[in-house]
Amino acid sequence: MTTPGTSRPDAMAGAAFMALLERRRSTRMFKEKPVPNELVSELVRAATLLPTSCNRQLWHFVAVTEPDLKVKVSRCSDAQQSYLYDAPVLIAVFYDTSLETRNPCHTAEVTAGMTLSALLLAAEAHGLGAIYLGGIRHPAGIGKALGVPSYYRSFGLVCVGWKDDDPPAPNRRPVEDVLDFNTFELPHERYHADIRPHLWTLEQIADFRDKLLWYKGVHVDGKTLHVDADVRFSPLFQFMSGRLGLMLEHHTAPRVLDVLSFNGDVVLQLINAYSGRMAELYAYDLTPGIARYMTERFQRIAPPGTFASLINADADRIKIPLPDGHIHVMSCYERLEHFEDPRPLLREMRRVLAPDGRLLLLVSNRLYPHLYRYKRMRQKNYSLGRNWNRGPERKYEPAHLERLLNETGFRITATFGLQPIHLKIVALGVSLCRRIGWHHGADRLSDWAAQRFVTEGIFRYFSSTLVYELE
Amino acid sequence: MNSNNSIKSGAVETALGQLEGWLATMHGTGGYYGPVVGLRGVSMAWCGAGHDWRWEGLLDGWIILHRRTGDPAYLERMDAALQALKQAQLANGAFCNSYFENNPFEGGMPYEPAVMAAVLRTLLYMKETAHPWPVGTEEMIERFVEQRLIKELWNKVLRTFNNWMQSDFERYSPPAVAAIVETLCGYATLTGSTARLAPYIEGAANSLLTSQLWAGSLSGALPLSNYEGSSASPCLAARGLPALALLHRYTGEARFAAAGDALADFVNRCLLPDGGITCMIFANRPARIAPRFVGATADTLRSLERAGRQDATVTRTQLTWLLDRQTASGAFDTAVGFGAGTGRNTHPDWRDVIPVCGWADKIYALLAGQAENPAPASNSESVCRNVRVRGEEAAFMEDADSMILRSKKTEWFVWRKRTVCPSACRL
Repeated sequence: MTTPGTSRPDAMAGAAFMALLERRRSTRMFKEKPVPNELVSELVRAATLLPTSCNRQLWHFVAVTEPDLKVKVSRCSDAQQSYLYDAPVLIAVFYDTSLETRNPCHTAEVTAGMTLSALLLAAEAHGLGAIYLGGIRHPAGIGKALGVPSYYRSFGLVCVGWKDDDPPAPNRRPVEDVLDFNTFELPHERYHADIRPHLWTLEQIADFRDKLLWYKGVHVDGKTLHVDADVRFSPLFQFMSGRLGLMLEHHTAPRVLDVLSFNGDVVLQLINAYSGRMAELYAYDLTPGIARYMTERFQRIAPPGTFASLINADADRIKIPLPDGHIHVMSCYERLEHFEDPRPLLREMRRVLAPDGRLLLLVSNRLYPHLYRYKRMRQKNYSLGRNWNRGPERKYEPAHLERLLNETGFRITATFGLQPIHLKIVALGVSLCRRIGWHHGADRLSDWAAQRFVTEGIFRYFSSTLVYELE
Repeated sequence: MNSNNSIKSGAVETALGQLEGWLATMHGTGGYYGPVVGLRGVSMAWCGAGHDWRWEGLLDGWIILHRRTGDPAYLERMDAALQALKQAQLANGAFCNSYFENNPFEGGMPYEPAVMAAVLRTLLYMKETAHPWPVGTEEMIERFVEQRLIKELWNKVLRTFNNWMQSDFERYSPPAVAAIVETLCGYATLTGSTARLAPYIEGAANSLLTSQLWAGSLSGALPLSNYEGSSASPCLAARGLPALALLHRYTGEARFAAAGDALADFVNRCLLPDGGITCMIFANRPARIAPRFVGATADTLRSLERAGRQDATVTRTQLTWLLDRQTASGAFDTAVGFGAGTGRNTHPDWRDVIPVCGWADKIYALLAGQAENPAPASNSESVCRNVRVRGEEAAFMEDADSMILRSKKTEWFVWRKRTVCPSACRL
């Protein structure tokens, strides 16, 4: 960076700029305080200082402050984000793409991207908070709602307002990972380092989970942010409830542990369905942040004195802070996926499980054709998957997993498959029937599939989720 | 009370007594147990005491029966129900195991507000009879209204109530909003806090009217979601009738009466002439008649009755159809026509015959309203019926202590009544 009128780099200004970049976060909570129009103009002025191809400057910005118009924008674009309403100002970014068609460098998109980043940085520089809404389902709807001509392409919305939260710093890949001089060195792995579980240390997994939990808006330290869709209302969780209930019936006063509870879906389900039947209920996870959340959420609703939140007892290795053989019933729902080598976790689970104890283990199956997996990472068996918020996902093949289970001292008593592969074909059939207007056929096929969500036959090995009951 | 010309004298009373006998076999610690076959799925793997809308019809039925007979046993049952609900309430005001076909999950819609509206009717009735309210009931309702409805589910942008806290906060379900309107009106009457609750009631009422459909086969219907204007469940839509009637009564505004008229027309169009109610109506494809839910039919008739739109002839035809669905155990079939059109229809589908408390209560309330001299509860008899499970022939057996669904090769479902989990469940 240079100071105006000189060519000498200004170290102070450079440091300030870097500090600004480092300080910027995506703000999701805003104070109920208006942002003056002059300030909004200043942000847009910053955006217009950015370079544009042939200096065309074909951008256009619409600041939305009227609540009714926000509703219209949100409905037309199907944004479904609550902070769209909480932010006093939405800045919609448009670019006239009619002159940029077939441009191999996609200059319209690049220019719009730069203006968006300028808006975010300028907001930070003026003490405001901002977030770019990337999850809009129909961005073209923004233009429709605002009466913008169709040749102006919508590049999304920036919510701007006065900050009411202080998000933690996200992980960033080191520069040496992403920068080469005078050459391009193909990385050993094609995908982002963050999604390769074998590169993750326990500390990284803990850090990721802690921050994601905070970001996903679960209640921690008196703050609730963005609340995401509840995944528990599914046949999978209903099936899990039933099997856990049968396991509890084998013990008079069972002590129950949910392994790597994270957002507490399984814990809530256990309290909901079997409150009063469990002598002790433990939620175990890796970080104090998750433990605080668990305590705050569940201590009030579980019967007094029955619930406790546990944190990993060792920074460098998996260590459940419970004595040997303490637990009668244990659940672990799609958590082995975080580990390239799950044996340390399995050994710990075996250690704390009583000799007559039982474990319900649900694992993503590698043999199931998860389409998103192929889309995102081709032949790899791990990814951030659909549920990227959980952390890395490693899929397991049944034979490999069963070998690991035997190796760590578990005995398989029952195996099930949830959502077997043939339901995928049926789903395609349903969609085809709907498309050709044969709704009766579609209804029949849906009904057929709904009754076959759980399988015990050979198709269990080709199901989306493998379920093992172990002792 | 209408004259049930085509129904054998005393048939309603006998049916009510038998149903009461069956309900007693499902009653255990904390409430009424049993599997669920619902409009949107089944919950067979968990059969514990549910706090979904199964309390609604029971409480309404007990009020009617106590009013008619003065038997203090009904008041005792009301007390016990309120205690059970109090025990089942979570810190945020929601109730555990309240999601009916999604049991054992909490936060069921429209189940929770439907029950709370019934609880408020119960409290008003208790007040009328000078029967003391069970300790903590007021706090329970207050927590539901203040914590759950207003703090968590009120959407200040849409000015109505969401179904749950989540990203898709622009979606709401008109049948659930209708149940919430009933709850809020009841709560306002009970506590005298009309002024404070008025904005919420007004917002919810407006959202009901906004979502009402006015074209084609769906004209007058309340859709399942404000985003889905292309389909409606007549049974759930009918649950908007009492809410609209209440709003008209409180505000005197003609728009609510007009909306109620249109909705009642829609519901009456969906009642089938030979009995039962159409399952789903679509804007751009033929209606789905089957399965005809028996309890949903009773619930629709109750909704029409509660909104003061009962047609005696329709009720008589439907009542005859309903009574034909009762089995020797005293329970009613859940539906007619599950898996219809699959070719081998020699036996009913298993989902047709599994009796469900959350539907039986609707029939109970309807029969209670129709019975002149309620008969005492009779013992539930054993039944054994041939059914189909995934195309395979099987037998469904029920007695006072168990429900079993078994084919030659497979034990599909084995449940000892009043226990939480079936010992076998492959459904």
